Amino acid sequence: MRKEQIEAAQNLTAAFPESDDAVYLLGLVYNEQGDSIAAIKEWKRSLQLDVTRADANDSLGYALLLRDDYEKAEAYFRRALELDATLATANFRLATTLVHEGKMREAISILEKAASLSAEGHRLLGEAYQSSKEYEKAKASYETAIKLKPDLSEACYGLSKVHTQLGDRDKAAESFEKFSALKKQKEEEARNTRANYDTLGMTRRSVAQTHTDVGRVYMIQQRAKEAEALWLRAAMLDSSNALCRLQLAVLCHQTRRYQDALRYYLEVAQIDPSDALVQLNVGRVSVKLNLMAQAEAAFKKVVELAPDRPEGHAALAQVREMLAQKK
Amino acid sequence: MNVRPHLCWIAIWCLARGVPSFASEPIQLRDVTAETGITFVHTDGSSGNRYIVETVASGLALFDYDNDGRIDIYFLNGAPLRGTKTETVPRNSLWHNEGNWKFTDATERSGLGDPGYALGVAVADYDNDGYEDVYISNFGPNKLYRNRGDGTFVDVTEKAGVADGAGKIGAGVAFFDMDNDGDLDLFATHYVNFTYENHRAVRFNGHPAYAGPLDYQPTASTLFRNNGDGTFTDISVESGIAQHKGAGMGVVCFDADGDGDTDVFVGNDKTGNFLFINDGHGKFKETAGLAGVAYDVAGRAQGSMGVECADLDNDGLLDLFVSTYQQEVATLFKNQGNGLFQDITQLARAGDGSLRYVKWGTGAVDFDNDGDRDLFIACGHLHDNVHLFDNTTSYECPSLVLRNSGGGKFVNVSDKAGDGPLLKRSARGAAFDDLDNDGDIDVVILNSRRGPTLLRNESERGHWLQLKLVGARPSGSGSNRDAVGAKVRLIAADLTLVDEVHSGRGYQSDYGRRLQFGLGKRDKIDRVEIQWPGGAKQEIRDVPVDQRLTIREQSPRSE
Repeated sequence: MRKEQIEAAQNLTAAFPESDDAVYLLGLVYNEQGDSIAAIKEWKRSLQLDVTRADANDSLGYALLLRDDYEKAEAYFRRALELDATLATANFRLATTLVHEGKMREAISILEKAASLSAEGHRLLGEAYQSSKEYEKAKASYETAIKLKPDLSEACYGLSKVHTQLGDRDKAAESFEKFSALKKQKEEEARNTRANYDTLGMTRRSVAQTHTDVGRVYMIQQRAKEAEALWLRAAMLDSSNALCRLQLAVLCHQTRRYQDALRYYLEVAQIDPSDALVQLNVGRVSVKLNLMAQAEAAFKKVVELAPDRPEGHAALAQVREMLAQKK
Repeated sequence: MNVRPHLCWIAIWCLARGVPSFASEPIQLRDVTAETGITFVHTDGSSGNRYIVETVASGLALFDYDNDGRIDIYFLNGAPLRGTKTETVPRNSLWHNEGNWKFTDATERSGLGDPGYALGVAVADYDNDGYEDVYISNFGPNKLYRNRGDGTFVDVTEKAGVADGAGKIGAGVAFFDMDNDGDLDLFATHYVNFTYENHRAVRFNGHPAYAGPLDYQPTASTLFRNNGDGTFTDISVESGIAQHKGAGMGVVCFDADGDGDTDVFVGNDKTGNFLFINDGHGKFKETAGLAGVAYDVAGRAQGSMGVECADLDNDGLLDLFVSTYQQEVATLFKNQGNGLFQDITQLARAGDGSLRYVKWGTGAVDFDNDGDRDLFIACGHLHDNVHLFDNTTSYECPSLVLRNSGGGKFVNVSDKAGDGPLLKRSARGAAFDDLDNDGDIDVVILNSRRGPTLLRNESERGHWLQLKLVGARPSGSGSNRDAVGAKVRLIAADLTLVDEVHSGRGYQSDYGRRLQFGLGKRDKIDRVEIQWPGGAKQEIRDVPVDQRLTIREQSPRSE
């Protein structure tokens, strides 16, 4: 199956050797399979094809960070952020690299300037403040991280250490107790995950993800037939892959294969019942198929899931009017 | 006049041969393995079934077993595991130092060729008779060999009562005097609760791989009290040690909280490290979490392997350095006093270059005798096929050398520190001592599945002092004969250095019974202060440099 995965990506680059998307994707697949040397080569090639790819710079930076090459990693992350200042992974990874380099002040500056920070970002900011002996600021960052993600054990640990530095042993013990409980729970989860580790299942999911992505590049290149074949294979390999099903649904919808489109939209809705847009499309395709009761139910869900969006209300009103006319 | 052309010629020669020029780096470690005559080859006993125990073998010890003043080498070895066929029985191997970098095989005549599956070793004179004894932790019953004093050893495990049960995977072991009663007690860590029956077959990206520590249940360590009559008593439960379970690897005993008794630090693989604080009477409280040494700065349980203890910033307090798994930096925990530590790895850059490797044996050694302790880390992956599913790293890796540039800040000089660190091996234990008695510390590395590596220290060298401490036991009621737990403070002009005598350290290894002090350009030592574990204090003034000095305990306490 891993061979199938790599062949799918290689076939894509063979078909579109000048496509930076295809080349970047091949790099991702090599990396997924543990060949970071080949991945680095492909990502560099994708940058030769399109120097404005922020994601390729980000991926290169991360591969080099894992090889202890902090200086080059830092340069790639900075370039990624020049190209796309909102790229959250590059922002976080740049700060991580700077922390590795002992450049705490620069790491703090990067994280402070970030448009929005995840809980892990606030935790890292706390760590950088802590290393810089700015304990009050570290405390505030750790507390924000915990507020955003109460089970972020690492932030509880940081908070405990900061309380210790501030001389508050009771609060240090309290935070440490919370950390210990979370840690114990996570270790237990890790043991269970390992005990029930499904190697084949994981491989199927990984290959399905690649097929989905490769299919999307084929679609961009107007090769719908190849795209559809890959998405069908992805759907077969991974019953939880919503994206390949959504791609299939949209393709069938656009090509007026409404029965198939409905089936795929319904599968996506089953995987992710909270997606209002999918429900909207279930309703719209149901109307095309004259399945008015099903359409009404779908539009009702849209209104429930996204009450502020006008599309759901309008569609529901419209389908009810049609049902009334029928009666 | 001829210097310049000569240097140019050397440079051209180096370029032509592809030999890197190391001249600008003060630390130089040269591979001299081929000239030593050592033919030992390690086996992990592997059969292809990939039992987890294979991944963690083995450590080694450097000690002077025949008191001839030269440091000998004891390599541990694996043994055939279930399903392994072998024509000869692998044994542990003792190599006598003949001087001038020549070693002869003393395994047979010494009786130390134990055929068990050996993982960890500690050396100490547990019976205070003046000769170093050897304790070995095995996958299976552990072994205690008493040194008869005539170059031979006898297995006294049964009489001593230290077999430590069957079926456990042994790990780091250490002797220490937990109650300062003058005889050495014994701490034995264990890895995980593995048996052939609960073996787990694992695959990464479709390739066969070894299971990890979280695939098995953690285990508790064992603490034996020395009864002073050649026997020991297992006091793991009443001491409080048994209630804490982890995946133990390296262990080092030292006075972590500065209260005068010896505490125990255990590096655990992915389960959070332990710091057992001693109340001085044989009761221990596990405090690693609040002390700040259980996890890294981000609260992550690391795959801790080797543990080392030394004052890395010359502030008078012993810090902890821990080697770790891949994608985790080796970690420096700075001792802040009062039993508290802080992970300052990144500020000190003590983990530079270590992210991509699995790291094992480690030592804090002042290679260039400049007064600052440098760091050495032996590396190597545990998966022999790692290149098939992760070529960020490799099975055989170079070693890491981090030079202390002063004040506890480190620079990664691995690729400039001679040809020794560049050798790619799958290292496990590493040990450090002055093998040629020339005043600097050399390196011995046990490599998994192949012969060892010996690195001769050819660094630029400052002045130095080596101290061998001898406790007053068995006469009177002084400290243990090996002075394990003794603290030394050396003052030479602006330089103050501290150290402690350990037995058991690094990755399941033992070394460094003679304490080494690098002095840089200081050519006079103002004073050496010794605090013996029995409580006595001793001071020697105006000590000449560049010598090996034996100091005997003078003032044993009264009964």
